[in-house]
Amino acid sequence: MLIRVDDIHFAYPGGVKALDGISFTIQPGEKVALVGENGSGKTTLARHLNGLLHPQAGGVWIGEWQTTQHTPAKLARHVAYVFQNPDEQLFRQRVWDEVAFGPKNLGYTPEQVRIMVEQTLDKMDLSGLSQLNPRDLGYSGRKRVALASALTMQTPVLVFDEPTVGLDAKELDQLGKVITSYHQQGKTILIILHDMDFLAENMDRFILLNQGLVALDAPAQQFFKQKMLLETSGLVAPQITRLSQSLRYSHLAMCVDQFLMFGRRER
Amino acid sequence: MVIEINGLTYTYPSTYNPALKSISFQVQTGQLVAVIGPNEAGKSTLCLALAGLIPALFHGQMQGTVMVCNMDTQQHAPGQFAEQVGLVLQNPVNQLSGMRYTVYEEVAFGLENLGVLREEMPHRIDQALQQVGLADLSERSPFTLSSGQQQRLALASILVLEPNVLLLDEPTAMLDPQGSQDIFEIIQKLVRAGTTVVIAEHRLEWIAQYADRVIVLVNGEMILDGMPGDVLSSPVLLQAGIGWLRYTQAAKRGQTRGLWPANYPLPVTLEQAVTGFQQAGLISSEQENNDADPS
Repeated sequence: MLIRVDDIHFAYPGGVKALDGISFTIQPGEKVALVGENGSGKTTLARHLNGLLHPQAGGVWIGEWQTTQHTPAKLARHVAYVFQNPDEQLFRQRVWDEVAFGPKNLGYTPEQVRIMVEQTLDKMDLSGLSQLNPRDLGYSGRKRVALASALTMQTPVLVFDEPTVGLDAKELDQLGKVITSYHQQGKTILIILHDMDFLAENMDRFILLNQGLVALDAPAQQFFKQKMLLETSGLVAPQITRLSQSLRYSHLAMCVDQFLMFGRRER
Repeated sequence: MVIEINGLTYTYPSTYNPALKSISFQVQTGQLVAVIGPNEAGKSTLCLALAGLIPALFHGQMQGTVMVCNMDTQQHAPGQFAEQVGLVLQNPVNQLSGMRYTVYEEVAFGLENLGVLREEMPHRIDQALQQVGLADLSERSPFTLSSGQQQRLALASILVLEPNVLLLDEPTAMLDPQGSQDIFEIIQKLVRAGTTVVIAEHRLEWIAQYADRVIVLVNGEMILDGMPGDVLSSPVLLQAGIGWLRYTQAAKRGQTRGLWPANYPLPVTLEQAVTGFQQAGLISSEQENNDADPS
């Protein structure tokens, strides 16, 4: 499902300008990272993709649908959005109900809902917790429930706002695997994140926002070559990329595998 | 010793498993100690215990002793600790008073409670806001700030108290890399000036560079305590689900292909990694000018 963002502008009441003319297109099945400083407009932009916010000028299209023409409930069939703070998202008494809420509302039969929920809980390592109240879980548990309740809807587009905050190394690994498996199913994935190591290993394309504008939109390799721009935008390149830069690699490595593949011993 | 913990075991009310089990360690004045561990390992609980909030506020079952700035947490009230020990919570929303209309007033709140002279306040508040980069937002409501800005505010409201011991529970989780760097620089300055800092933190690269010491908690138990270079390259971290820095991972896998010198310890910083790989003669497999990319 093609996402088209065309010259959108948005200012919050009180005049804080968040988006100042943003345009890009995301092809179906792309894995895109949305990066930039705190306050650069990332979350505001992401909330335009599922119609939670409407642009004051310009337009956003999800496939054939312009977001202003459809309710967020309808857009939810196409775009699942995971909030930065799980507590803004969770409201049911049981983990199972929370994860089932989306597919139930999209009109799936009870049997379909059961299968969807069970598969997702299993993927997110939540099966054993399905009868608990999400509020009784720790932060990372609630975060995983919030992720699960978005994933379970099987929408073609997934938007994650800071999905890794509060997750430890093991849970990050698991999230990486979940992203890979959804990508293999052809889903479009957009992630807002500051963890460049995770992004470099999992995302193909990077869009950098700076003061409500797209400052750079490039494949990972090219993106991390722009040292000056990254620095002025408050970003730090991934460890493995800096290591390959320091060793004067001609191709920047995005992960340990590439680092070992792109180098050889001097004869 | 500014911190002395002896045989601390603590169980939250209405739970069975202790959140901390037989923890003992001491910290010297002016040390920067990083506490790492997977989620639910007990890092936040340890911070609460050091701040004197456990057991006073949380009740539950506590064995052992925790002495901070010569005060026993079982003998002194949280208010007495507040004069010397500052705690910045993981989630800023839990930290902010919720009863102040502006950022400026929020930072003043702690000073008022400690009875600091009115004339002394403006200078200290301005300085704290400056330090965390919120000076321009001092008239905003705390609840109109982004989560990254709220995290800075939570830190400012503790820094303004000028504590001898600063406890930080993942203080940069919501900040962008530059914002985190700013906070870490503030922490370094405080440590140089003699403040003792205990920080629960996931960012291993930063810990490798700046911490004097690293403590590893898993399931409420302290499984490692040592210098960053030794602890962060320990295989124990892999089993514990904490993982290694990419530098360490690359060197370990390079070892088997002769790309890392056999007599070198595994690296935990960029500099160490570059030195080791250069020593082993690692170079790019293609010439640099072969790159078609114009940038």
